[in-house]
Amino acid sequence: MSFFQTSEDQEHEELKFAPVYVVSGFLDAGKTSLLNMLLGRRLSKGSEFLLIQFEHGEEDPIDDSEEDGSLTVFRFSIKEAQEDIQEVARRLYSYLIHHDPAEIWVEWNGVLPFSYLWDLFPSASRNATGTLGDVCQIEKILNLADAQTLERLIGQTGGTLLEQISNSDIVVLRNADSGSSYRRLKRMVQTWNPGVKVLPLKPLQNVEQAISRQNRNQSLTLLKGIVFCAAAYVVVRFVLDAWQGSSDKLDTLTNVFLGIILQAVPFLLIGVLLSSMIQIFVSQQFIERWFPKHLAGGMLFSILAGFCLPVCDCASIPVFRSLVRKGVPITAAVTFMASAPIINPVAMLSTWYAFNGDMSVVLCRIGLGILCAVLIGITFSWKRSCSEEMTLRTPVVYCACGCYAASSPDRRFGKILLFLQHAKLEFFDVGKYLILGAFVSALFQTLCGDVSWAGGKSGLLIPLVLMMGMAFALSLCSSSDAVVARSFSNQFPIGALMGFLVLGPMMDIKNLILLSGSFSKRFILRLVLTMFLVCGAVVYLAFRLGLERILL
Amino acid sequence: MKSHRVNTQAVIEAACFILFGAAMLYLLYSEKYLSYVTPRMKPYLYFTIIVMGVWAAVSMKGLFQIVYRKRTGRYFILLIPIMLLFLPHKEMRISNLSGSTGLLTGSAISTTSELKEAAPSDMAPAEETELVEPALPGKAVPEQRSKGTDVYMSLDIYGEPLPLHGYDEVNRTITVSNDEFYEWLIAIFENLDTFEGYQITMTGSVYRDPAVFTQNEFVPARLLMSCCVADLTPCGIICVYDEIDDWKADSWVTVTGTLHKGQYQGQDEPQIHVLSIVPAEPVEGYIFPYG
Repeated sequence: MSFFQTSEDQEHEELKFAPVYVVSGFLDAGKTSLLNMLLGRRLSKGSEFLLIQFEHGEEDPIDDSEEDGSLTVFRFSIKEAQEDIQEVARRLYSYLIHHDPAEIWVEWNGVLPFSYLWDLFPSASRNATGTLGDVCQIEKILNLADAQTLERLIGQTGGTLLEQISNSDIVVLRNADSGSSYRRLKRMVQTWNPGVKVLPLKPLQNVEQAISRQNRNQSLTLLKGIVFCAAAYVVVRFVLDAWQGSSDKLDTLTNVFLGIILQAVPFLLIGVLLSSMIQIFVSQQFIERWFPKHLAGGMLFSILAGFCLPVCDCASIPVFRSLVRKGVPITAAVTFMASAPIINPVAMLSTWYAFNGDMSVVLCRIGLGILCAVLIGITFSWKRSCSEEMTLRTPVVYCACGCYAASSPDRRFGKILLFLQHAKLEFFDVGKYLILGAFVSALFQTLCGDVSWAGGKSGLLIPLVLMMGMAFALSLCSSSDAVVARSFSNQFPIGALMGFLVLGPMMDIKNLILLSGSFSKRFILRLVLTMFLVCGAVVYLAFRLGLERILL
Repeated sequence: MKSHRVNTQAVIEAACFILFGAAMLYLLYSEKYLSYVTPRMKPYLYFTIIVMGVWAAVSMKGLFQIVYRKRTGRYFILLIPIMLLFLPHKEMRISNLSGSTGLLTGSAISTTSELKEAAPSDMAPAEETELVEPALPGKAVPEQRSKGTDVYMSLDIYGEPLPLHGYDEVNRTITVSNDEFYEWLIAIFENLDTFEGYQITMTGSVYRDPAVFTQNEFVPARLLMSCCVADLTPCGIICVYDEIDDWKADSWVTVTGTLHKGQYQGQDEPQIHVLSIVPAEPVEGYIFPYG
């Protein structure tokens, strides 16, 4: 019995890596005091700990003389780390082959990019490599951020802090002066790092709990999720069958959902491939250099650029942001953002296709789209102060499509690989909005197919407002929204569909989220309202004046 | 424990891409994709399969790369459609359609076809709607007639000549095969006077809309898909039959009756005065007018 246990323990021993907990954050974020609090509690329970520091904070690390456990501290300067991270690794390795700390804690300096961290703690590989990867593995990465300075710091430091936040498991926000500012920052952090746990510093127990919580086995979660969904579907279908005598509604929902998905996915693929091509192979500097700086020329150029750059709405926002940053007039930048997703070739192709090769619908969408974009742009030239009003909070061109993860392309394939990875990530990023949109659309068609209360095909104003609201809520990618619009053609007049097709690419919930990361609330509110009013008015007037007759 | 050393995210990602591509391939191979989209999507679905394959390969490249924060939630985007595809769900029937979906009537169809025909208008008018005797050697014609297998020349939506079968000019009968349901509808809608009094046989499922139909009216209808399953619309010819209450909605029937010019919502529409109704085998698949 005992022999058996020992052998198993030994085997277990071989597989066990010392867990590494990384606490990152900027100077003055309060890393040392947080570490002291966390380590203090652990030390009182005994065991051996190792603390690695990459700067000397204002506070000294905790003194272990009065505790049951022991703490060894290694301290390196930033210079040491930057000049030779391998030397740092060698010193730690030679310590760790003789010692076996229960946990390793790292106080990571916010200035050091995480690439050093990955170099220092490589993931385990098949054979012993003589690196720290053989003895320890990163378990959790925590980022400690000061709510008062976070946004300013992101602006000043560029990608480093953003990279750290988007790679963290836990972000601890301290010093939030109110619940609302805390919630706003939390939302912002979660746009950069979806699924991250955001916590206030106090109570500390919650932070400790988050640290000790096992990282969920993601693959298992995925499997469980799918099995759960499948089971739920079967059960619901069975119950419907038993109670209502038929599961027709659910079957219809499934059919319509799959129809929209099968129709839209290929176009979404074309969209993300083309947009990634632009983003990888055409430099932003190039676009900015050739952007004319005066009003009419700028607007004309914006429209032409929108036509040549097959970016969909999710890609046009990062471009918009950088255009504004580089001093491109706001009128031109707004015109670009509003027109590019509509007049790009992919959107045209999918519109043409969705409406059975009817060119008049395509032309109508482009014409109204350009008209609206220009009008929206002009409203931003009225007041000079508006460029101040839209203060850029984060002058970082943060690629919302997550190309951070693809920041280290393999040399051999270089840009092509980066392009494929970028497209892939963009697909996942936009895909979720498509799935959600297809589902809402299918649900709407199944449950409230009869929309005669909204004026049906005879009225215009109410269906128009309704469809514009829907475009805003569904957040469809402009490369595939035409198909969804077409699927509403049984319930709504073509004028309302046109409102959907014109407003949808310009503004929706997803774009709002993307914008809120870098622009002031006032500017965004103004932008959204202007877009709603201009699109609504233009489409309404156009169809009241008889545009409908041209379109069937 | 080697699995620790492989980037599980890369494995899952590649697996999801391959699964999605395989599901598309299965849909294409089994032609089941036609339950959701039109045949025009075929090349686009092949394109999807290729992209999935390339991406799976790209993911496999990352098999030994360090990814600290693993995110697998996004793979639901691929897995949910695959899952739904293989969970049971019946094909759409007419009664599944939402209430506001109206019947695609003759006027609606012929407007569309007129638009489509407008482009190649240089075609000789005689050819356009005129009855064209099969341009076959003379001796073949009577032989065909005796069997009721004349060919009626119509035009498809692109203005190309389209031979329709089951036509017998001498006995004044039309037997509409399931494959030519829609093509015959257009031909009849556009030549109401020519076909007045013809005896017609066609198969569809019983569709009655109490809001617009009178008590003794129904349509042996088929579903028409112009883009995807979200826009299915019933189409067919209105029949007049006093005992239609005996037949359940959605049941498949073969109707035989005489064609007459009638009225529906203020438009001239063909009507069938039913002589007999017999149950029929369900007809698989939808009609793709722009297929």
